Amino acid sequence: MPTAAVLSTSAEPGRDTISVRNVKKYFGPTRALDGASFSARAGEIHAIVGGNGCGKSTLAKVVSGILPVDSGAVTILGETPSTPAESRALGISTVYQEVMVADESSVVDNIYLGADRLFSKTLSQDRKVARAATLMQELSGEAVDPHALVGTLPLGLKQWITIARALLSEPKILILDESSAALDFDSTERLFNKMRALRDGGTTVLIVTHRIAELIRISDRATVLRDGRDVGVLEKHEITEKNLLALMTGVDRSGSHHALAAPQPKTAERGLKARGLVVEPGAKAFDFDLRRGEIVGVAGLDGQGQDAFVRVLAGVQPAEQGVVQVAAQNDEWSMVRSLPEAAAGRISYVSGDRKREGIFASLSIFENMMMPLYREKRRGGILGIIDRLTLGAIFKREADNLLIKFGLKEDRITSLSGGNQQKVLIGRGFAMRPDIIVLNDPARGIDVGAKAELYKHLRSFAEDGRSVVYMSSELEEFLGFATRVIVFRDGAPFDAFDGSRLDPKVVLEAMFGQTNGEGLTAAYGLQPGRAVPQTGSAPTANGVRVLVDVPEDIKAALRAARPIATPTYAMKETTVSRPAELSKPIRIVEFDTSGQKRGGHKSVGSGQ
Amino acid sequence: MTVASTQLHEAKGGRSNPYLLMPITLFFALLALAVLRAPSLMTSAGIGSAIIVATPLILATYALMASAISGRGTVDLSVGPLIGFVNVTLIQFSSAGLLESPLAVFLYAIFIGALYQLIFALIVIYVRLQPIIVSLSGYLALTGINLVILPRPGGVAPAFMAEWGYGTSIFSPVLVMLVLASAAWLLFTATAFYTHLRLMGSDERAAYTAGVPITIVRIGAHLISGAFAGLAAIAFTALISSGDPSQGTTYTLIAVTALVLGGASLAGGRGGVFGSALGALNLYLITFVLATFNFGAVQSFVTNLAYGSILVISLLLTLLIPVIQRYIRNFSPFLYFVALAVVVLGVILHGTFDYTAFEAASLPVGPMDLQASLIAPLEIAVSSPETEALRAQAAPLISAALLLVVIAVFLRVAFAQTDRRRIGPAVAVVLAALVLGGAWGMTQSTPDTEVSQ
Amino acid sequence: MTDLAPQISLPSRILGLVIGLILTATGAGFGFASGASVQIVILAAIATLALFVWGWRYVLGQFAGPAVAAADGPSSVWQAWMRFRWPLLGLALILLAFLILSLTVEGFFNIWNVISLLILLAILVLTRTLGRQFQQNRSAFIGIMVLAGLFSVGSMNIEGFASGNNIKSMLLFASFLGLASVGQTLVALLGGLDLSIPFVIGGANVGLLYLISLEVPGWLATIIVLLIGALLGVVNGLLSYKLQAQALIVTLGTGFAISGGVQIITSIGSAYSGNVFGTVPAWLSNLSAMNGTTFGISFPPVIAIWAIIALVLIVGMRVTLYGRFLYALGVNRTSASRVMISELSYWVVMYALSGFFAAMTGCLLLGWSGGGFIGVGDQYLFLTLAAVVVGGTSLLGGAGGYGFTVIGVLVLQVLSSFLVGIGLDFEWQQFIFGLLILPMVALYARSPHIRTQI
Repeated sequence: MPTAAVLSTSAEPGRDTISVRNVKKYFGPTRALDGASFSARAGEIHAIVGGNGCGKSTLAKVVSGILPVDSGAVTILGETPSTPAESRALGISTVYQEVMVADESSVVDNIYLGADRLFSKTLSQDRKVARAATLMQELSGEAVDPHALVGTLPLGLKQWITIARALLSEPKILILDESSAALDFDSTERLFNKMRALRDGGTTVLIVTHRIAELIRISDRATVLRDGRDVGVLEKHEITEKNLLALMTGVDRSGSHHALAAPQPKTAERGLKARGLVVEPGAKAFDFDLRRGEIVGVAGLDGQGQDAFVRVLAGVQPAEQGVVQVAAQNDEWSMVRSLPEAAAGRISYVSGDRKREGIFASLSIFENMMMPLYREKRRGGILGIIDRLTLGAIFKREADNLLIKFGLKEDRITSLSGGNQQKVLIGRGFAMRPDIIVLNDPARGIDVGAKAELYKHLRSFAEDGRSVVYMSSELEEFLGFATRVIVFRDGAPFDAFDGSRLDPKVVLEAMFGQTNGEGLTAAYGLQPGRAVPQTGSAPTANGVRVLVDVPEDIKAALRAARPIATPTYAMKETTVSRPAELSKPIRIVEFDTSGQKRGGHKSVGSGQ
Repeated sequence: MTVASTQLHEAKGGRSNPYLLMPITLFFALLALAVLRAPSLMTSAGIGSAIIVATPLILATYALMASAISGRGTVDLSVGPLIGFVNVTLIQFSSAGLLESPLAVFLYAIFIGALYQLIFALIVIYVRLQPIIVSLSGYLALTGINLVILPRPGGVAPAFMAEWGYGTSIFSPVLVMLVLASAAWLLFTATAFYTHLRLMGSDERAAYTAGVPITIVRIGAHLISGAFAGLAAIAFTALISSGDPSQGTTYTLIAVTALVLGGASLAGGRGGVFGSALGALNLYLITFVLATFNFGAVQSFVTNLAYGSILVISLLLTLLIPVIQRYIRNFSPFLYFVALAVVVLGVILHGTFDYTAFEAASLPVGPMDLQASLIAPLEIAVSSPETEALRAQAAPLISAALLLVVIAVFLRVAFAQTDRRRIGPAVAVVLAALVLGGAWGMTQSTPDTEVSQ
Repeated sequence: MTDLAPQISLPSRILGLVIGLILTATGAGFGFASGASVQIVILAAIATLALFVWGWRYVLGQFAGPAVAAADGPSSVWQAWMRFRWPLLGLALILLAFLILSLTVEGFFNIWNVISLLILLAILVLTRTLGRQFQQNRSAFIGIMVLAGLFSVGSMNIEGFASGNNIKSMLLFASFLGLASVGQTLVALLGGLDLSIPFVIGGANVGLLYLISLEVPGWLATIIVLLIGALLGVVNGLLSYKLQAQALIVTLGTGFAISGGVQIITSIGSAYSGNVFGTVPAWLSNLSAMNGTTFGISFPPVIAIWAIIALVLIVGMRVTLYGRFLYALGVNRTSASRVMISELSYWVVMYALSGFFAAMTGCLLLGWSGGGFIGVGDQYLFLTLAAVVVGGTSLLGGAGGYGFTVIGVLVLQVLSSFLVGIGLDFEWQQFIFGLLILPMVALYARSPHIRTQI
């Protein structure tokens, strides 16, 4: 709520070290910063927080002198640095989101990168080595050979090297841009201790993050950004999840979104199953079922295996162990080991990393969307002539469905905004007419309106009896959208949650390993239909079957007695009410062909 | 990481840099082969001419190396034409009576090289073109202008370098130039500038964000490259003692090959004079060995074929490096070099040992020239019987010492590394094989000396 | 240039240009038919085009209302200067150069040179004003303008430049270069390079004659050579794919190996060490000789072959999925792999095509020269690259096409012919080509600033 943002710009405890006034920065049509302002004082840990694509990383780059601003004023310690070298001279150290180290060089050289003058060294090599060794020991908690080539080290240690580089020069201002991404829990704690020590020494620590739990613990003040503008400053006692979320999402919009109901599968028919799956080396094996008509949310801290999981499901990368199978005709299951097999099984994959594995920058909008259909809709056999007529019709349909705004379909895709580019990619996924669509953080960097449309589209897709696997780095996305949410940790599912009663706080706790993980075996767990033993080799024959018949009077009663905590429950007018509040009764609801006798009444009754 | 923390005494990471593995191995293999094929290589004149011929190539490789380290895929294809350009302009100026003094010649060559590279660097930095395109453009333009300046080979080199190209003894001005250039680079590697350069080549964004002035560093790298190219041009001029507009151009391909053979990364960040010199020497030795086979009229074709295939093969072998890196975690190129040097020394002794002369001992007897034997210790083929006798006495001692050294090295390697999965197996096996082979070769070839003791 | 820049829609501008071109072509046709001298015809044609385009813009501009008034800022003079400083500087430079030349070179100041200057200026202005409409294909547009300018200036200053024979010979050499550049273009679209082309050309040239001298029938020998060329291309493709960023070095290496290997093979059992003697079959000579005939018409069939191949390629790249997949791979290989485009197979096939067309060029060059020579392809080492780059295909992959390369080839050929005409040797040509590459690449293939990559 904006009113919670008590502005207290006058500096009491320390003088202002960073002052950013009404800064604008555009990248072509994208407005990364659109009039953002904030200030930070000496001796505080100041968080810049906001959803993805709100401009917080751009702001960090502006403060550290990498990006020149289009308009506005940036004053840091009384100056305006315009290159990283200048800001370093001012005492500003930055750790960037991306781990930037020189793989061919030694640890000590990487730590002391930029510390020397142009020709002469500031320290003798021996002292550098000794300092680097102690620093790395202190930070990472393990001994690192200072002469080791950085390329031979794991990612976590590389991240520590970049942090050590920033800490080396006793910075007056330390900027950490999502720097804990590659660190584990213990390491994050050590980093926080280091940050507190620096703060107490009078350093301004600026952290840029979208991880609410972390910043609540560490930050003294927080500036919230939304759509390139600052929307409020929170003091220490005001930094709560509620306040942050309210500011980050904007109250009005999040309300309407959350009111929607997550789609519930109409059948227990499975579209895809995984058995003995290991997605990352050394991780636990697990089974997973995906029903038709559901949206499965996949979450986890960065690099906990959720990314690998959705890629394995879509055939983009092979599983370490285990199999992924997709339902084919005649009750058979076909393997998914590669992209062609996934395509044959009608699985399509949409990546949120548009630039890297999504768009074809210099090709047209039309081509970007229709590329995968070229083979299918070709003419002249081996000549492979593209059937632009047919494809044009499909293009028009998808573009209309997704409300993509574009000029000519021959325009380059780069002429579109990020959100519309992402829509084109999603259109590409839909154009293949998949049964299962796997989305890997697709809402990254697109605006709220576009997100809402995306959810709407995916929801109706699921309601048509097809399935969605949706990985996101933002928990808020799952609210009122995902049927169930699976949280990954250490390369395997750690816990699962019922989408209709999703509490972001609990999910966040699960991401940090603070829950007991019993959701995995529940009805909204990895295998929703597993509880009653399945006999025979033919699972869920005959397509859609309505197995639970809820009498009208009970439904009415249900609506009347809707629990406040789950406003969305039982809103849908479906004959399949798949109640999923309590774990015990739900196990009785079974979709076996002969399991009709038990079922709805009892569970529904327990829901009241 | 929890696993690692249980054994804190073991530091994380490997120091291994196995990129020199291949050039060193290839160098000694080729050297042994060359000596066995043509013992005359190991005479003062043989080594001298080898230095004269190889120096322009080595320096050209240095020139490539300096700019290649700076990253962005800088492979300066124009290095050959640039050498040619300095060569032809030098000849034209000197025949016009200008540029007579050595100092002026050196300054001129280095200045022109550096100037060209400065323009190159400025275009790369400010116009932001890919370096490879700029170098292509320079290749075409310089090749054309060289022919305009000097339409056909001819002219005379400045008088002071007239005798440089004879290559009759090991110690020549060209060698001094080579040693100085190498030493200068080694000194340069001790500066912070070199560290900046290497880190920038490896990850330019990391260097930029850490506050390294990448523009200046890149320009510096190109200036050094230009200076090396100028020196290469002087060595080249000394070699041919005249001007040649098209010969210099051929250095491009050979120097690139030498660079790759020497283990430098074309992507940047890795390379050094040791590897580059070895790479260039390897190419020289390949030519030399091929020449000993006497292919007659198709000699140059065979050389072309060999250059091309070796370039491709060595590129393919770089794909294996990560695999090697996984198994050899602590490779010391120096140790490996010394070990192999010992072995090949044995082979050289064997190859140049004039057994017939020793047995017959019928050559004209002269007083032993101690001076000469000190200066040219390897000038063995025509040595006197006294030397031979002396050597015969020394042979078992040498072989014993050799074996001891090698065994010591082997043991050090074996024991020091047994508990870790580091250097060890590969190097040890190679060493053992070579030691055994060398020892066997020596015992086979020196039965008389053993008996005479 | 300082008009109000009326806002005319793009289609109507293109329409105007097309009508203008048709008018010009018709006029030129009439001119040639009525026997006017070439110079007059060209002048008239350019005048027609310029007048029509200007008129079209003017007339349509009356309907389209003026441009939106410029925002407040510095004085309008300063704004105009900021906007047009580069063309104005260019104009000033050209005028200065012309002045200096007129003052220093005796007899330089004659009517033809003045007209050439005017044409140059007109082209500069046209390029500047019309070039804005061709954001995506700007290099092709500039190429065409340069081509037109060079050709008209050349035909006015050089005796016999626009004669049928000279045009024929230019086209002949252009078709050799064009065929050699096919592979380079395809490979560049992937983001690779093929420097083995000249060596394959030389190898095919010698190898074909060698096979013929072994009394293999000419057609069979040609097929064998073409297949071997494609096979070498396959090897190149596999190696370049494995060693992604080093395609340039790899292909240079294989090129040397190929050249050495072919010479060794042809020298075995021969007393002439690499020199092969044989009689080129008549049909092959006819294919590429200046006096060759195509179905009775007196022009070398190789030109027709080139035209057909160019047409197939240009159309094929647009309408077939293979062409589009090639572009997709060049733009973003990760995205391409997500839509199941096999990178390896495209690399192999494109390099194979490159080897095939290089071998074909080698065979045709044998028909042209009549004697085998391993170095016949040497000049194509950088010429193919220059043609690709000057045409406007990005060496980073994904942008450009063979149509662009055709323009590049023609520009290089006309320029080369022009330079020969004004008495410059091959060396000078090479020098100028070398310097020409930089600005052409700078127009469209600059890397982003490091600031934006973090």
